[in-house]
Amino acid sequence: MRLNHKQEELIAQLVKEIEEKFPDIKFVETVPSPESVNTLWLHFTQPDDDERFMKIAEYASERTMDILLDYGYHFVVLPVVANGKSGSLANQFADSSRSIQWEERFMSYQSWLDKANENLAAAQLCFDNGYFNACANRLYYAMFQAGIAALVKHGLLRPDAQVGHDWLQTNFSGQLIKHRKIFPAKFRSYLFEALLVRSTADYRMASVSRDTASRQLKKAKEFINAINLEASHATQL
Amino acid sequence: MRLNFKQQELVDQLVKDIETKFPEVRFVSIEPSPESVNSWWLDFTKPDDEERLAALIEYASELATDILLDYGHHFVVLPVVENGKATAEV
Repeated sequence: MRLNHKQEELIAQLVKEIEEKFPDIKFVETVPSPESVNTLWLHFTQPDDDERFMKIAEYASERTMDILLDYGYHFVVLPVVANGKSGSLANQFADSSRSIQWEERFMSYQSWLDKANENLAAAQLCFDNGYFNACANRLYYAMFQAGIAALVKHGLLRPDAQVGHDWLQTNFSGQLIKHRKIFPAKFRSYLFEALLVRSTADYRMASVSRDTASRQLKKAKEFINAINLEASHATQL
Repeated sequence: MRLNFKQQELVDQLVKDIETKFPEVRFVSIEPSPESVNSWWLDFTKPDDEERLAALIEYASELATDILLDYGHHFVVLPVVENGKATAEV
Protein backbone atom coordinates (compact mmCIF):
# COMPACT_ATOMS: atom_id res chain seq x y z
CA MET A 1 0.00 0.00 0.00
CA ARG A 2 1.36 3.42 -0.97
CA LEU A 3 0.26 6.92 -0.06
CA ASN A 4 -0.78 9.26 -2.83
CA HIS A 5 0.59 12.78 -3.05
CA LYS A 6 -2.37 14.39 -1.29
CA GLN A 7 -2.27 11.89 1.58
CA GLU A 8 1.46 12.53 2.06
CA GLU A 9 0.85 16.27 2.10
CA LEU A 10 -1.98 16.00 4.62
CA ILE A 11 -0.01 13.66 6.90
CA ALA A 12 3.07 15.91 6.79
CA GLN A 13 0.94 18.90 7.81
CA LEU A 14 -0.89 16.94 10.52
CA VAL A 15 2.38 15.64 11.99
CA LYS A 16 3.87 19.14 11.96
CA GLU A 17 0.85 20.61 13.77
CA ILE A 18 0.75 17.88 16.41
CA GLU A 19 4.49 18.00 17.09
CA GLU A 20 4.38 21.80 17.37
CA LYS A 21 1.46 21.78 19.78
CA PHE A 22 2.75 18.80 21.76
CA PRO A 23 6.56 18.94 21.60
CA ASP A 24 6.84 16.07 24.10
CA ILE A 25 5.59 13.52 21.55
CA LYS A 26 7.11 12.50 18.24
CA PHE A 27 5.73 10.94 15.08
CA VAL A 28 6.83 7.32 14.56
CA GLU A 29 5.24 5.92 11.41
CA THR A 30 2.14 5.48 9.28
CA VAL A 31 0.62 2.02 8.88
CA PRO A 32 -2.56 0.75 7.21
CA SER A 33 -5.38 0.08 9.67
CA PRO A 34 -5.81 -3.66 10.28
CA GLU A 35 -9.59 -3.08 10.35
CA SER A 36 -10.31 -1.01 7.27
CA VAL A 37 -8.71 -0.60 3.86
CA ASN A 38 -9.71 3.07 3.82
CA THR A 39 -7.99 4.03 7.06
CA LEU A 40 -4.39 4.87 7.98
CA TRP A 41 -3.04 4.80 11.52
CA LEU A 42 -0.42 7.38 12.52
CA HIS A 43 1.67 6.20 15.45
CA PHE A 44 3.16 8.76 17.81
CA THR A 45 5.16 8.33 20.99
CA GLN A 46 3.18 8.11 24.19
CA PRO A 47 2.86 11.22 26.40
CA ASP A 48 3.81 11.10 30.08
CA ASP A 49 0.38 11.27 31.67
CA ASP A 50 -3.34 10.74 31.07
CA GLU A 51 -4.17 14.46 31.02
CA ARG A 52 -1.74 15.00 28.18
CA PHE A 53 -3.04 11.91 26.38
CA MET A 54 -6.60 13.24 26.51
CA LYS A 55 -5.52 16.66 25.18
CA ILE A 56 -3.69 15.02 22.27
CA ALA A 57 -6.69 12.77 21.58
CA GLU A 58 -9.03 15.79 21.53
CA TYR A 59 -6.80 17.90 19.31
CA ALA A 60 -5.90 15.08 16.91
CA SER A 61 -9.54 14.02 16.61
CA GLU A 62 -10.60 17.55 15.66
CA ARG A 63 -7.86 17.78 13.04
CA THR A 64 -8.54 14.32 11.58
CA MET A 65 -12.27 15.05 11.46
CA ASP A 66 -11.52 18.21 9.45
CA ILE A 67 -9.39 16.16 7.04
CA LEU A 68 -12.09 13.50 6.70
CA LEU A 69 -14.80 16.04 5.95
CA ASP A 70 -12.70 18.23 3.67
CA TYR A 71 -10.72 15.59 1.75
CA GLY A 72 -12.35 12.21 2.50
CA TYR A 73 -9.20 10.64 3.97
CA HIS A 74 -9.49 8.77 7.26
CA PHE A 75 -6.45 9.05 9.54
CA VAL A 76 -6.36 7.87 13.15
CA VAL A 77 -3.69 9.32 15.47
CA LEU A 78 -2.47 6.79 18.04
CA PRO A 79 -0.05 8.15 20.69
CA VAL A 80 0.89 4.67 21.87
CA VAL A 81 4.57 3.92 21.19
CA ALA A 82 6.22 3.47 24.56
CA ASN A 83 9.91 3.49 23.79
CA GLY A 84 9.87 6.77 21.96
CA LYS A 85 11.40 5.39 18.77
CA SER A 86 10.65 8.31 16.52
CA GLY A 87 10.80 8.00 12.78
CA SER A 88 10.28 10.24 9.83
CA LEU A 89 7.90 10.46 6.95
CA ALA A 90 10.51 8.74 4.83
CA ASN A 91 9.98 5.60 6.93
CA GLN A 92 6.34 5.22 6.07
CA PHE A 93 5.39 1.62 5.37
CA ALA A 94 8.92 0.43 6.06
CA ASP A 95 8.86 -3.29 6.75
CA SER A 96 8.86 -4.47 10.35
CA SER A 97 12.55 -5.35 10.40
CA ARG A 98 13.53 -1.76 9.61
CA SER A 99 10.74 -0.05 11.48
CA ILE A 100 9.38 -0.57 14.98
CA GLN A 101 8.71 -4.17 15.90
CA TRP A 102 5.34 -5.86 15.70
CA GLU A 103 4.77 -6.02 19.44
CA GLU A 104 5.56 -2.34 19.86
CA ARG A 105 3.31 -1.47 16.94
CA PHE A 106 0.33 -3.48 18.01
CA MET A 107 0.21 -5.92 20.90
CA SER A 108 1.81 -9.08 22.17
CA TYR A 109 -0.32 -12.21 22.29
CA GLN A 110 -0.51 -11.81 26.07
CA SER A 111 -1.95 -8.30 25.69
CA TRP A 112 -4.58 -9.60 23.25
CA LEU A 113 -5.38 -12.40 25.68
CA ASP A 114 -5.62 -10.04 28.68
CA LYS A 115 -8.08 -7.86 26.76
CA ALA A 116 -10.04 -10.94 25.68
CA ASN A 117 -10.35 -12.03 29.32
CA GLU A 118 -11.44 -8.52 30.31
CA ASN A 119 -14.16 -8.53 27.63
CA LEU A 120 -15.29 -11.99 28.70
CA ALA A 121 -15.67 -10.72 32.28
CA ALA A 122 -17.62 -7.74 30.90
CA ALA A 123 -19.89 -10.14 28.96
CA GLN A 124 -20.61 -12.02 32.19
CA LEU A 125 -21.46 -8.75 33.97
CA CYS A 126 -23.82 -7.78 31.13
CA PHE A 127 -25.46 -11.20 31.30
CA ASP A 128 -25.86 -11.04 35.09
CA ASN A 129 -27.59 -7.66 34.71
CA GLY A 130 -29.93 -8.75 31.92
CA TYR A 131 -28.17 -6.86 29.10
CA PHE A 132 -28.19 -9.73 26.62
CA ASN A 133 -27.47 -7.71 23.46
CA ALA A 134 -24.46 -6.09 25.13
CA CYS A 135 -23.42 -9.52 26.40
CA ALA A 136 -23.50 -10.90 22.83
CA ASN A 137 -21.39 -7.97 21.64
CA ARG A 138 -18.75 -8.27 24.38
CA LEU A 139 -18.45 -12.04 24.17
CA TYR A 140 -17.90 -11.92 20.42
CA TYR A 141 -15.10 -9.39 20.79
CA ALA A 142 -13.62 -11.42 23.65
CA MET A 143 -13.48 -14.41 21.27
CA PHE A 144 -12.20 -12.20 18.43
CA GLN A 145 -9.29 -10.96 20.58
CA ALA A 146 -8.54 -14.43 21.94
CA GLY A 147 -8.48 -15.77 18.37
CA ILE A 148 -6.02 -13.06 17.36
CA ALA A 149 -3.91 -13.84 20.46
CA ALA A 150 -3.62 -17.45 19.32
CA LEU A 151 -2.65 -16.41 15.78
CA VAL A 152 -0.04 -13.94 17.09
CA LYS A 153 1.34 -16.65 19.38
CA HIS A 154 1.83 -18.98 16.44
CA GLY A 155 3.31 -16.32 14.17
CA LEU A 156 0.31 -16.21 11.83
CA LEU A 157 -0.56 -12.51 12.06
CA ARG A 158 1.38 -10.42 9.56
CA PRO A 159 1.83 -6.71 10.28
CA ASP A 160 -0.04 -5.82 7.08
CA ALA A 161 -2.99 -8.17 7.67
CA GLN A 162 -6.51 -6.75 7.33
CA VAL A 163 -7.95 -8.33 10.45
CA GLY A 164 -11.62 -8.62 9.55
CA HIS A 165 -14.18 -11.12 10.79
CA ASP A 166 -13.74 -13.35 7.74
CA TRP A 167 -9.93 -13.16 7.98
CA LEU A 168 -9.97 -14.30 11.61
CA GLN A 169 -12.43 -17.14 10.99
CA THR A 170 -10.50 -18.34 7.95
CA ASN A 171 -7.16 -18.34 9.72
CA PHE A 172 -8.28 -19.64 13.11
CA SER A 173 -10.29 -22.51 11.63
CA GLY A 174 -8.01 -23.09 8.65
CA GLN A 175 -4.58 -22.76 10.26
CA LEU A 176 -4.96 -23.51 13.96
CA ILE A 177 -7.66 -26.19 13.74
CA LYS A 178 -7.51 -27.82 10.31
CA HIS A 179 -3.81 -27.68 9.46
CA ARG A 180 -1.93 -27.47 12.76
CA LYS A 181 -4.56 -29.21 14.91
CA ILE A 182 -3.74 -27.01 17.89
CA PHE A 183 -7.38 -26.59 18.90
CA PRO A 184 -10.23 -29.14 18.74
CA ALA A 185 -12.44 -29.31 15.65
CA LYS A 186 -15.56 -28.42 17.63
CA PHE A 187 -14.29 -24.81 17.82
CA ARG A 188 -14.25 -24.35 14.04
CA SER A 189 -17.64 -22.62 13.85
CA TYR A 190 -17.74 -21.03 17.34
CA LEU A 191 -16.54 -17.66 15.99
CA PHE A 192 -19.19 -17.79 13.26
CA GLU A 193 -21.95 -18.52 15.78
CA ALA A 194 -20.86 -15.67 18.01
CA LEU A 195 -20.68 -13.30 15.02
CA LEU A 196 -24.18 -14.34 13.91
CA VAL A 197 -25.62 -13.56 17.35
CA ARG A 198 -23.57 -10.36 17.72
CA SER A 199 -24.73 -9.10 14.30
CA THR A 200 -28.34 -9.63 15.39
CA ALA A 201 -27.67 -7.79 18.65
CA ASP A 202 -25.98 -4.84 16.98
CA TYR A 203 -27.84 -4.39 13.68
CA ARG A 204 -31.31 -5.93 13.83
CA MET A 205 -34.52 -4.90 15.61
CA ALA A 206 -34.64 -8.34 17.17
CA SER A 207 -33.01 -8.77 20.58
CA VAL A 208 -30.87 -11.61 21.87
CA SER A 209 -32.72 -13.80 24.37
CA ARG A 210 -31.40 -14.91 27.75
CA ASP A 211 -31.20 -18.50 26.47
CA THR A 212 -29.16 -17.59 23.38
CA ALA A 213 -26.86 -15.31 25.39
CA SER A 214 -26.36 -18.07 27.96
CA ARG A 215 -25.46 -20.67 25.33
CA GLN A 216 -23.06 -18.31 23.58
CA LEU A 217 -21.44 -17.22 26.85
CA LYS A 218 -20.78 -20.84 27.72
CA LYS A 219 -19.16 -21.42 24.34
CA ALA A 220 -17.12 -18.22 24.62
CA LYS A 221 -15.74 -19.36 27.99
CA GLU A 222 -14.87 -22.76 26.57
CA PHE A 223 -13.15 -21.19 23.55
CA ILE A 224 -11.19 -18.57 25.50
CA ASN A 225 -10.23 -20.97 28.29
CA ALA A 226 -8.76 -23.32 25.69
CA ILE A 227 -6.67 -20.47 24.26
CA ASN A 228 -5.57 -19.41 27.76
CA LEU A 229 -4.62 -22.99 28.54
CA GLU A 230 -2.70 -23.48 25.30
CA ALA A 231 -0.84 -20.20 25.84
CA SER A 232 0.15 -21.09 29.42
CA HIS A 233 1.14 -24.63 28.41
CA ALA A 234 3.28 -23.35 25.54
CA THR A 235 4.92 -20.81 27.88
CA GLN A 236 5.90 -23.54 30.34
CA LEU A 237 7.60 -25.64 27.66
CA MET B 1 -23.22 -4.58 -5.35
CA ARG B 2 -24.18 -7.88 -6.94
CA LEU B 3 -23.42 -11.52 -6.22
CA ASN B 4 -21.19 -13.19 -8.77
CA PHE B 5 -22.16 -16.53 -10.32
CA LYS B 6 -20.33 -18.65 -7.74
CA GLN B 7 -21.68 -16.65 -4.80
CA GLN B 8 -25.22 -17.02 -6.15
CA GLU B 9 -24.73 -20.77 -6.51
CA LEU B 10 -23.41 -21.05 -2.94
CA VAL B 11 -26.25 -18.93 -1.54
CA ASP B 12 -28.85 -21.03 -3.37
CA GLN B 13 -27.35 -24.23 -1.95
CA LEU B 14 -27.06 -22.75 1.56
CA VAL B 15 -30.70 -21.64 1.51
CA LYS B 16 -31.78 -25.05 0.20
CA ASP B 17 -29.81 -26.90 2.91
CA ILE B 18 -31.21 -24.72 5.70
CA GLU B 19 -34.82 -24.87 4.47
CA THR B 20 -34.57 -28.65 4.05
CA LYS B 21 -33.22 -29.21 7.57
CA PHE B 22 -35.46 -26.55 9.14
CA PRO B 23 -38.69 -26.60 7.09
CA GLU B 24 -40.33 -24.12 9.46
CA VAL B 25 -37.88 -21.34 8.52
CA ARG B 26 -37.81 -19.45 5.22
CA PHE B 27 -35.18 -17.39 3.48
CA VAL B 28 -36.23 -13.71 3.33
CA SER B 29 -33.49 -11.56 1.81
CA ILE B 30 -29.79 -11.05 1.21
CA GLU B 31 -27.84 -7.81 1.60
CA PRO B 32 -24.22 -6.68 1.91
CA SER B 33 -22.93 -6.54 5.49
CA PRO B 34 -22.91 -2.98 6.84
CA GLU B 35 -19.49 -3.72 8.37
CA SER B 36 -17.48 -5.44 5.69
CA VAL B 37 -17.30 -5.33 1.91
CA ASN B 38 -16.41 -9.04 1.86
CA SER B 39 -19.47 -10.24 3.73
CA TRP B 40 -23.14 -10.92 2.93
CA TRP B 41 -26.00 -11.24 5.39
CA LEU B 42 -28.86 -13.67 4.75
CA ASP B 43 -32.05 -12.99 6.73
CA PHE B 44 -34.29 -15.96 7.52
CA THR B 45 -37.51 -16.28 9.48
CA LYS B 46 -37.11 -17.21 13.11
CA PRO B 47 -37.85 -20.73 14.35
CA ASP B 48 -40.52 -21.27 16.99
CA ASP B 49 -38.49 -22.13 20.05
CA GLU B 50 -35.08 -21.68 21.61
CA GLU B 51 -33.96 -25.27 21.01
CA ARG B 52 -34.64 -24.98 17.28
CA LEU B 53 -32.98 -21.58 17.16
CA ALA B 54 -29.85 -22.92 18.85
CA ALA B 55 -29.78 -25.87 16.43
CA LEU B 56 -30.20 -23.51 13.46
CA ILE B 57 -27.41 -21.21 14.68
CA GLU B 58 -25.06 -24.20 14.99
CA TYR B 59 -26.00 -25.72 11.65
CA ALA B 60 -25.85 -22.46 9.68
CA SER B 61 -22.50 -21.56 11.25
CA GLU B 62 -21.02 -24.92 10.29
CA LEU B 63 -22.19 -24.57 6.69
CA ALA B 64 -20.98 -20.95 6.49
CA THR B 65 -17.58 -21.99 7.91
CA ASP B 66 -17.31 -24.71 5.23
CA ILE B 67 -18.08 -22.16 2.51
CA LEU B 68 -15.59 -19.66 3.92
CA LEU B 69 -12.78 -22.22 4.12
CA ASP B 70 -13.54 -23.89 0.78
CA TYR B 71 -14.46 -20.88 -1.37
CA GLY B 72 -13.43 -17.77 0.58
CA HIS B 73 -16.92 -16.26 0.57
CA HIS B 74 -18.34 -14.97 3.87
CA PHE B 75 -22.08 -15.41 4.43
CA VAL B 76 -23.76 -14.76 7.79
CA VAL B 77 -27.18 -16.32 8.41
CA LEU B 78 -29.48 -14.21 10.59
CA PRO B 79 -32.72 -15.91 11.73
CA VAL B 80 -34.46 -12.70 12.76
CA VAL B 81 -37.67 -12.28 10.75
CA GLU B 82 -41.17 -13.32 11.83
CA ASN B 83 -44.13 -12.94 9.43
CA GLY B 84 -42.12 -10.52 7.35
CA LYS B 85 -41.23 -8.32 10.32
CA ALA B 86 -38.20 -8.33 12.58
CA THR B 87 -38.97 -10.25 15.73
CA ALA B 88 -38.85 -8.83 19.21
CA GLU B 89 -36.52 -11.53 20.47
CA VAL B 90 -34.11 -14.03 18.94
